[in-house]
Parts: sequence; C-alpha cells; structure tokens
Amino acid sequence: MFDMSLSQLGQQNLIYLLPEGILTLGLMLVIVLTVVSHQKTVQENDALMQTSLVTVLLSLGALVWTHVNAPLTTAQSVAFGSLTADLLGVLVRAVLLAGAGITIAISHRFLQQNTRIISDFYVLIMGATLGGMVLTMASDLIAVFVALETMSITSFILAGYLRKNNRSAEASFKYLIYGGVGTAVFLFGLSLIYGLTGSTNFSEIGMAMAQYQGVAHPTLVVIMLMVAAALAYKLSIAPFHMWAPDVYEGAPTPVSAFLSVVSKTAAFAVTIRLLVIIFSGFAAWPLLWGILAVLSMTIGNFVALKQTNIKRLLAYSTVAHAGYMLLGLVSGTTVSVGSILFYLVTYLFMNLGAFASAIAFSNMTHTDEINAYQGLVYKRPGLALGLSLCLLSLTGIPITAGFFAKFFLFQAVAMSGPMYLWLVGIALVNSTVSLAYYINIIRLMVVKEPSDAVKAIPDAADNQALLETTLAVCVVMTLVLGIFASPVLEFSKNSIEQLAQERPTVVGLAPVSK
Amino acid sequence: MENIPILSILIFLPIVYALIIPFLPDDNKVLNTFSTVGSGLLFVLSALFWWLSAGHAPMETRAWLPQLHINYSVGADSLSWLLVVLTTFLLFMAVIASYTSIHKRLKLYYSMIFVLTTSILGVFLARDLFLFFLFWELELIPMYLLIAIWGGPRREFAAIKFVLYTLFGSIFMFAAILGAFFLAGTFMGQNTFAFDQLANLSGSGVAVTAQILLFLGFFLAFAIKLPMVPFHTWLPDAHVEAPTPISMLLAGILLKMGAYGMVRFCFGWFPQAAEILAPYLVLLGMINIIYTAGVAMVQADLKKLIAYSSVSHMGFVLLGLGALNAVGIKGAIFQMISHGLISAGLFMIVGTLYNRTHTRMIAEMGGFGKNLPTIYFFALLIALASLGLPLLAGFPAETLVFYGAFLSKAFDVIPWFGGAQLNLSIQTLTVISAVGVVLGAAYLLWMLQRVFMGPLFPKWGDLKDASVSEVFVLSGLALPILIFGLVPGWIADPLESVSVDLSKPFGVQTEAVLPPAKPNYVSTAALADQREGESH
Repeated sequence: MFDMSLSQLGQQNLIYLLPEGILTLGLMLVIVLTVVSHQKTVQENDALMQTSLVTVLLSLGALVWTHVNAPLTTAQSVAFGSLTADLLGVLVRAVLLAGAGITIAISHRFLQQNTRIISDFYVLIMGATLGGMVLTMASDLIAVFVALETMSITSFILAGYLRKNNRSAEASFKYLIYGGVGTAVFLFGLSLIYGLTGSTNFSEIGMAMAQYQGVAHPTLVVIMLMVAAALAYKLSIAPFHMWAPDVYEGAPTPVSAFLSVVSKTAAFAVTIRLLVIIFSGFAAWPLLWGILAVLSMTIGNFVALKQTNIKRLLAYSTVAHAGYMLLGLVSGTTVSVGSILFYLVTYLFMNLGAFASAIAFSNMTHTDEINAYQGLVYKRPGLALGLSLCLLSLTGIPITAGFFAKFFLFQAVAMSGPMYLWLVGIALVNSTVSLAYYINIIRLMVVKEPSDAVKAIPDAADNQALLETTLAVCVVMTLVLGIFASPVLEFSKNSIEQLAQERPTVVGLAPVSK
Repeated sequence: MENIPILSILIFLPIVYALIIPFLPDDNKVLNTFSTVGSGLLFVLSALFWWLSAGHAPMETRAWLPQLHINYSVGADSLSWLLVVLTTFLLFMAVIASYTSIHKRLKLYYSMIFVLTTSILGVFLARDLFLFFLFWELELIPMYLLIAIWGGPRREFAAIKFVLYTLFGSIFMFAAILGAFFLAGTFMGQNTFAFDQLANLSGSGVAVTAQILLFLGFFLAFAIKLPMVPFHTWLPDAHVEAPTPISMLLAGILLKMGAYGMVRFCFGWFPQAAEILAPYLVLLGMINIIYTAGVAMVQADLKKLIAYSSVSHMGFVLLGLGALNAVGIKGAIFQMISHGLISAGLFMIVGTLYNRTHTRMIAEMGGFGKNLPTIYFFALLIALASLGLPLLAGFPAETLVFYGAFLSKAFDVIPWFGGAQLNLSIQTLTVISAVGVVLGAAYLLWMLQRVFMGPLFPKWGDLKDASVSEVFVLSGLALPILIFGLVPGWIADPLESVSVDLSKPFGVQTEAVLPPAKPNYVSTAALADQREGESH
C-alpha cells in the first residue's frame, strides 16, 4: 500500500469525495478568515456566515454534479476500500449537507444575540458535517471510528458553545461523558469483530460473519449488544437516550437542531450499512432493535406529554421518531429500509422547521417555555402557521410529508410479515398519543389569548430575514414533499437495493413483499 | 365535459378559497360575503356537475406514487353525488348561519371551514383507499380548531376528545387498509388501493375470517364517527361546545362520513362478513335508537337533547343496512340525507334560541311561541320531520328502513357466545326499534311544549324574532325537508341502482320489492304490514 503510484491513486474514485473536498477547503478558508479578522464586526461575522453557507451549498452542488456526471450504477470502492460511494451515500449526504446549511442559516441571529464569537461555530458545524458525511460512506471499521469521533468531538464543543451559560457547559460535559462511554463500548465491540474475523473491511467481515449465521455464540451476542448500544446512544434510542433531553435543552438551540437531524441521520446511515453488510443474517439483531424501538417510541412519547420546555419536548419527540424509524430496520426488507430514508428526508425539513420556529420565537422573547407560546398567532401569524404545520407533520397529519412518511414506513413494516403487525400497532397507538403534545402547542398558539411574552413582541419586523426564509423553505418542503414523494421514494428504493447487492454473501436481504 | 376534471375542481375549490381568505381585508362583512358567494358557487357547481354528468359516473385517475401502487383517483356514483350536494348545500347554509353566531377571527374561521369542506368532499369522492385515508385524517385539525376556538366553555376538552376518538378509530382503519392492500396482492396478484379492484376482494378466495377482520377494522372507525353506542360519548360533548354552524356541519355531514364508509367498504366490499355480522349490527342499531332516545328524554340541556336525538336517528342507518336488502339499504342512505337536513335544522333552531337567550337550559325557556313565532314555526316543522311525520323527509327514510328490515330474512336468531343464541329475529328487533320512533315523538314534542308553549318568562319579553339570514337558513333547510317528504323519489330513484347493487350479494332479498319511484312512494300496504307486525 505504501508504494502506491499516482495511477493507483487515480483508480481510487476520488471524484466521489469532491463534496468532502470542497467542504474541507471551505472550512479551512473560514478558519483563516476568522484569524485574519480580529475585529469581529457585524459585517465580518456576516461575511463568515455567508462563506460557510456558500461552502455548504457548493458542496451540495458538487454532490449533485458528481451524481449526474458519474452516476453510480453500481457501488464504487473509494480510497482503498475504506469508503464506499453508493446511492445511499449520495442521498444521506445530501440530507446532511442540507441540514448543515439550514442549521447555519437559522443560527446566525441566535448567535449574534447570545455570544460574541460566532465564526468558530460554523467551522465546527462544517467539521461535524464532514465527519457525518465520511461516516455515511465508511465501509471500514477504522474509517467508521475516525468519522464518528470527528462528528462527536465537534458536537461536544458545539453543545458547550455558549461558554458563559452554565446550562450549555453542563450539556457539553454530560454529552462528553456519555459520548466517552459510548465510544469505549463501540470500540470494544469493533475490536471483538476484528478479533473474530481478522479484518476491518466491511465486506470481508460480512463474508466471515456469514459462516456464523444461526450460531448463538456469546461473543456474537456481546458484539451485537455493544455495537447496538453505541449506535443507540448516537441515535438517542431509549434506554440510551438519557443524555438527549439535557443536552438539547442546555445546548444552543441551533446545535440541538443540528444534533437531532444531522447527527442522527448519519448514525442511521451507518446503522443501515452495518445491518445490511454485516449483521443481516442474525436473528437476534432485529429482535434487539425491535425491543429498543418499542421502548424508544413509548418512553419518548409518554415523557414528552409532560414537558414544559419546547426544546425538551422536541428532544423527547426525536427519541420517539427514532423509535418509529427503527421499525424499518427491524423488518429489514428493502422497502422498509428504503422507507427509513424517505422518513429521514422528511424529518430533516419538519424537525428543522420546528427548531427554526423555536429559535425565531426565542430570538424575539428569550424563552423556550411552551406556555409562552400562547396567542402567538395574533402577533406572528406566519410563524405560528409554520410551526403548526411542522408539528402536524411530526404528528403525521395529512397533507404534510410526515403523514406520507409514517404511512409508507408503517405500511412497509406491516407488509414484511405478520410478526411485525404488533410493532406497527404499538407505533400507531404511540402516534395517536403524540398528537396530544404536538397539538397542545398549536392549541396554545392559535386558540389562546396572547401571553405576556408574546404581548411584549414588538410590532415591527424582526430583522431575521434569513431565518424566516429558511423556515419558509422547511415548511414548504414539509407541505409538498409528500405529494411529490415519488422521486425520493424511487431513489431510496434504488439505494437500498444497491446496498443489498454490496452484501458479499449469496443471501440477499429478506425477500421484498409483493 | 368528459375532459374537465369536475370532481377535482369540486374537491380543491374550497382549498383555493381557504388560500385566498388570508389576503382579504379583515372586515367581517367582506369575509362573510366572500364565503357566502364562494360556498354558494360550490353548491351550484356541485349540483350542475351532477346534472351534467347524469348517465355516466365521472372518474379521474392519475398515477401518483407508482412505487406504492397509489393513484390519485376520484369518482362519483349517485351515492357520492347525493352526499356531495348535501355537503355543499349544508356548507352554504352553515356559512349564512355564521353571520349571527360567529363574530371573532373570521379569517381563520372561514379558512378552516373550507379546508374541512375539501376533506369531506375528498372522503366522498376518493376512489383510492390511500387518498380516502388522507382526506379522512385531514378533517381532524380544522374541526379541532373550529370547536376549540369558537366553541363554548368546555370547548378545548370537547375538541381534543373528538380528535382522539377519531384518531383511535383511524388506527383500526389503517390496519384494515393495509390488510386489504396485502390481501389484494395475495389473492388477486396485484397490491392495490383502487376501490374498483378491492370491491372484488371478497370473491377472490379470501378467507371469511379475514373478511370479517377487515370489516371490523373499517367498521370500528366508522362506528366511532357514526356514532354508535358505546363509542358515541364524544358527540354530545362536541355538539354542546361547538358553535351553531359547526354543529350543523358536524351532525349534517361529518356523521355521514361514518355511514358512507360503512356502506361503501363494510357492505360494499365484504358482503360475506356483512351477512354474518348483520344480526349484531341490527342489535347495535336497535340499542343506538332506544338507548340514546331514552338519554335524550332526560336531558336538561336543549342542545344535548338534540345531540342525543341525532345519535338515535343514526341508529336507523345501522338497522337499514343490517336488513341486507335493497329497500333497507336504500332507507339507510335516505336516512343519511334526511338526517343531514333535519339535524342541521334542529341545531340551527337551538342556535337561534341560544343567540337570544345565551342559555341552553330548557328549564329557563318557555313560551317562546308567543314572541318568536317564526322560529316556532320552523322548529315545529323540523321537529315533526325528525319524529317521522308523513310528508316530511324523515318519514320516507324511516319507513323504508322499517319496511326493509321487517321484510328481511337476514336472521331469525342471533348466534351468541359458546354456541348459545339469542332468540331475537330481525322482525323482533325492528319492532323494538320502532318504539324509538315513539320515544322520539315523546321527547321532541315535550321539548317543543317546554320551550315554545306555556307562560313566557318576563326576562324574555323583548326577544326579537328571526332575522333575515336566520329565516333564510331555516327556510333553506325546511324546503328540502318538505320537498323530499312530498317527492321522496327524487332521492330514492338515484339510489335505486346503488342499493340494488349493494344488496345483490345477499341471499335474503325481500320477496316484495317496492315499485320504483312514485310520488306516493311508500305504499300504504307497506305501512299496513308494519303495523300488523307491531301488533303481533
């Protein structure tokens, strides 16, 4: 490997890393610009934000450009097999970049109000996104670990970004401790995999693991438990979700938004890849995830009922949604796993829309208490409408995309076999329960008379045009994505079918229900 | 004509209104006028489109999400058309009724009303099960806000109760939808949500047990909506708290969504299951009629009384459907229409009284006949229609139901748990249900007596009689009640083919099929038969 020539490097399909390359260059540029501009004036901060946003958009453009010009009809090995370029990677990285772009756009005004040091924030966001993107493509244990750590460590700093705020520091510390334990467990699991199979490469591991199919060796169980626990921590799945409410509440709201979407999406991508390539033959794996899914949606929804802070509520809501999405992994057919991808795309817009609304509200009122939202419709009808639509989408009420996402996912899981019907039933009951707390916010905003906090909002415009535009984009996407779901569904289906072909063993995924 | 998507225009025109309304000036007069003209246009269009498409059933199908076999598919047969025109008509009436009962936040109010209309029209016109479910769920949020913002003191509780009940039913409907989708793939080689294909499901070799499960899945969702005892408790709450126009829409149309679903899916698609379950449906229908009539009798709150009477009358739909013959099914559908008009009218009466007195307690009313003669007149007319007086719309509906049920051979005994059986034939249950008519007469007449007759309380001395808009709404509702009472054929004739088709799979036709449509539609012979049966 050390005597690689230039021609070998040319065969490594580095073209598929173009988005990562652009993001890295932009990231470094912003660092340099930050150092150059000592003054940190408003204009300079605006320029740094714009540079970061343009970088992310360019990276997204590069992703699309590569996809159009070098279409991935089959999965391509990248960088000596440590990464894989495939449709799953394209779709998920697009979600990550969109999530990063939205986060940058919705955070600027919030940062201006809460801290003097702004530009580092964007560097960290881009760094975490870069980690997530590599994680999505990783097909080697070392690459998985490095990418995961890149994403995690930047996230720890982000959670504690408001240095003078005790809650933020606490959130960061808690996240760090949990993250440390999670990493250790994950690493232990990975080392056992290496010990068992003698390789760090996914397909080689998959091939070696195929011979253990149906074997209930304690080592395999330990591996599965450890890997699953670490991933569940990253996905904020109950009972590994304890950090999420505290971190989401304490961290700056844009960071909570970022963690709930970008970090989670990347973790889902690697979970899907691990499931399909390495663990697909193991019966205990779906059982394990099934239990976690039920726990997660039930705990998430029922605890959310009692929340009084919108960030905590959204934290528990993400726990519940992770539970729904896990169902797709449990049944594990190409259709059901594909539905997770559609759900993730939907979730990107509806959840970031909800967070963007919460940010817009706290920018105006400096509070995250749900009761403060009373009567918002009288002062800011647009914001109230936007947040309502995002919350309805999270509930799964038509005509929003959330309805379609839930329908597709639950349908796919139910079609996978009669033993999954119970899971769908539990998910549906949970979905009904979730209506109670989502609609409560809508009730406060629309039905009630204005609260003191809302009355104090000035009648003048808010000077947060970028945030409002981004929120509008999220809401519009939430409204139309379901109606025009066909292309995304097609792409999701193709990605998972392609991933299934990447499996080294002769056995494919479980047969797709017709 | 063939190329114009008339059904899509009808479904989405209200949404267009809802999108225009936020940009109108915030002036109650402008908003009232816009909504009146808009809903009037919708009513005229729906009637016109029905008339223009006479002779063929319009159908629009476009591929939507081919990966999941979902199409955008809407269509209309006479059952759909009747309910669509009823919807647009009651919408028009409800909008005019809003003049006097809704004074705040009119923009949001009318937007929500029109979103609600789209969802209701979508439910009646959808020909794809996914689309149907989408429209079915879409109705929740507008209705929630309409009750929660413009309702009475306990409005928020009533609104959330309504939503949670409906959503609970949706769980079972969702399961049934997936079941039907899955079985279509297994037995017909094609996973599908299309109505016309799913209608063949029962003949494709699906086990009867599976059919019964699907029937029950759909039935539970629709029974909550209908509402059927014991799932009816959301309705008195919702009605009491809802403002008058919303009560009109709720009783007039939303309950019909449940009845429509039963006719279309439960009976249309799973006739074998319907045949097995018919005894229980009739039994439940009988309980619905008698029990809620009894509950209505003791209500101190005028609106609650009307609400329970509304539930009671929806029991006739179950009875008629359970008869499993063309006459009974036709009666059930007729009852949907006449109940829509009558209950909307009764709620309008309650609303006009409440606007004047700000109380709904019967004990605080009395003698209104003296100073509110116009309202009294309409109250009398509509209440008499409700209790089934001949020549008014309630009479042919109930008579058809009783006639169909009494001549039905659907069952002689009801199989019960453990091999036992209840010795109740459909005739016995019909006769017991007929007592409900007597009870209905009792509580309605007693109500009229307590509210409109007797001495007038001094504090009500200066009440003003109905305003122009109120007279318009009341006469608008009274007129069709009168017309369809005099010429029931105008509703019954279009339903002939639908009800005959629906009853075809059942082997329990009445031997005597009514002659098609004459002005004296319900023959005296039929009544004589019925009386004879009751005296046995």
